[in-house]
Amino acid sequence: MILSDLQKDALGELFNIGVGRAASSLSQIVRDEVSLSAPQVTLAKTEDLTSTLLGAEFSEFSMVSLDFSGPFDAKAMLLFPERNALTIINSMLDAELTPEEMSEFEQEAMCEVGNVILNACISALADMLDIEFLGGLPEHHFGDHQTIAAMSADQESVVLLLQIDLLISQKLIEGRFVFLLSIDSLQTLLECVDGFLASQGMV
Amino acid sequence: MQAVESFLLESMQVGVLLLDAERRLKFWNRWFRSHLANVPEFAYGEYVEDIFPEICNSRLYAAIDQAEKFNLSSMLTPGLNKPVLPLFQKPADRKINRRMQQLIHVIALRHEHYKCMLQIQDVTATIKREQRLKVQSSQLLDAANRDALTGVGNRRRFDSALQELVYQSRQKNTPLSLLIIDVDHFKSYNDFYGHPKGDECLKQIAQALQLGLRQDSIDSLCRYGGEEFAILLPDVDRETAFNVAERLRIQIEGSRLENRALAKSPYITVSIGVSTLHPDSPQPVQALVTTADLALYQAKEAGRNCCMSYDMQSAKTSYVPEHG
Amino acid sequence: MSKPSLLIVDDSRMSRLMISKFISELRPDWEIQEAASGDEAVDKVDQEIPALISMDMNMPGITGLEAASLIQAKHPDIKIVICTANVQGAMRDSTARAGFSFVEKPITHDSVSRIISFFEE
Repeated sequence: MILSDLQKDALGELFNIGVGRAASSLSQIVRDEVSLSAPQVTLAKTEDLTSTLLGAEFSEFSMVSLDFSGPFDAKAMLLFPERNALTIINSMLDAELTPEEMSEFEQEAMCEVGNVILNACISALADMLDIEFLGGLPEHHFGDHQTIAAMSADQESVVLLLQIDLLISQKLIEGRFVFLLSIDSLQTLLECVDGFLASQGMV
Repeated sequence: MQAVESFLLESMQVGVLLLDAERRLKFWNRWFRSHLANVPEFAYGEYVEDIFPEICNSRLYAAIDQAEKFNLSSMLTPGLNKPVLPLFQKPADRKINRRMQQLIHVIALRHEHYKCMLQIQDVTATIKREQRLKVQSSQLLDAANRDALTGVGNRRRFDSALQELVYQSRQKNTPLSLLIIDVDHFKSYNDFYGHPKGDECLKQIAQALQLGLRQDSIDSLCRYGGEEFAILLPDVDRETAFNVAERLRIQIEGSRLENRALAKSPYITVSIGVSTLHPDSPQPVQALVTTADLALYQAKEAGRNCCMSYDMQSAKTSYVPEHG
Repeated sequence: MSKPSLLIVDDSRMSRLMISKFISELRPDWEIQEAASGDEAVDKVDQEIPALISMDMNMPGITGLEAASLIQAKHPDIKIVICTANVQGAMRDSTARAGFSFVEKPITHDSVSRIISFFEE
């Protein structure tokens, strides 16, 4: 299954708006300028996730995920390499913690940051495509390649993958946005996207 | 609401608020009411932002809005949010306006009457505990790296600093110098004055060394062995290192710490071995230590109370020629 | 006065299509040109000077703000409107200080009307 150029473009623009709103919210929390950009969307098979995700940098990562349901179901995830997550937490909490010093407190904060970004993207999706979702509570885990392998156990799924660049306190932090969904769900999502494009007079 | 639902919510030990599709309050449970400073008489049916005006323009309001508009759930953690709802652990806190630390989940609901639920947990105790643990943990870490007697760094600290500084010197392409300082005739001192006095002497030497060091070098002073100290000096070349060593040697001599154990020298003196690693020379990390040791040995052989410097290039120890 | 010309700068083809669609509905007499990046916009402006530019913020290569500043330095009469989903106060202030107007994404009939009114005021 492949995305047409126009579909890629539409989804890219959608996430661009989503992360833009997320940056706005995050800047209110940290009271500093925050910038988020999300270049191109790529579609990949879940089993290729390890290769399409970065190599060594993502061997250990912080992951915030939430499940949402609606006309289609999906799991939305935000992944940051562990030391990048630490940079984010240190910026948001105005601290200088090391990985050993990260406690529940900081992990919760990371979960909230991920939640803000994920919700902003999903609400942008809902807004633009005019669909209704129900979004669950976010969860935070530390993961490694085994976590990714477990995700790919379900052969019937695909992932929409975006690189997310977060600029905060003059530090550039790279992460990944992953939409895990079944082939059927992807089909429905693309139908919604096509519907949106048609409504705008672009087919 | 059914009796059993109401009963359950009223028994819970977390706060529960239920809002309708217009952000109006439909229900709040006993736990929540009991932790408010003032319980307004007519709250049901009121807009949540009218009941709690302080939440306007807050993350909580944005989260409630997002739940109502988009059915998306969120969490607000105490780390990133100051306590936004006027909840207090105990009556005494109300007087000093010390709100409880709140972990708030805003949950979107699909229900006939309720669109949004707020779940509020009191995490004040957890946070206090975590702060205490953090303080303890950093104190422990500090103690693990400190020599109990003299208060300077210990051998473990030296070993890890050595690795770190060698790595950095290679990265930055700058030299790294090491001074090993050994108290002259310490065994005789101990035998003559007794161990407690020997300990006291080491403490004084450590202090004198610290006085002789620049502010940023004080941290790198470590007790290397029984009567040995070591100082790692990053970005310092061979000549500068020798000057530092001389300065310290003179500082100790000038402290006039009495030593009647030997007729030869009435005061405590030290011998110092100096060595310098240059980033471009392919020496292993340990070479810095073994060569400084060698220089120290030569200093002892030369009659003590002096400094010797090892030259990596010529593989010889010597006094660095005086300049000026 | 000759026909007003608008240069739409956005890396998303969809966005460019949407803006030009709304513009042709609201102002059918306007001339429309497109560029897919800040660098392309700077080049295009040197060749043919537009009266108005709608500039996306987040693009590969130089940012919209950088491109707008480069263009404004050479052609101070061109009116530039920055389109972005990131509406932080600080960003708003810095675009205003630079002399640019600011329109919030997503692109709708309303937001394009606002672009038009910035040009016509």
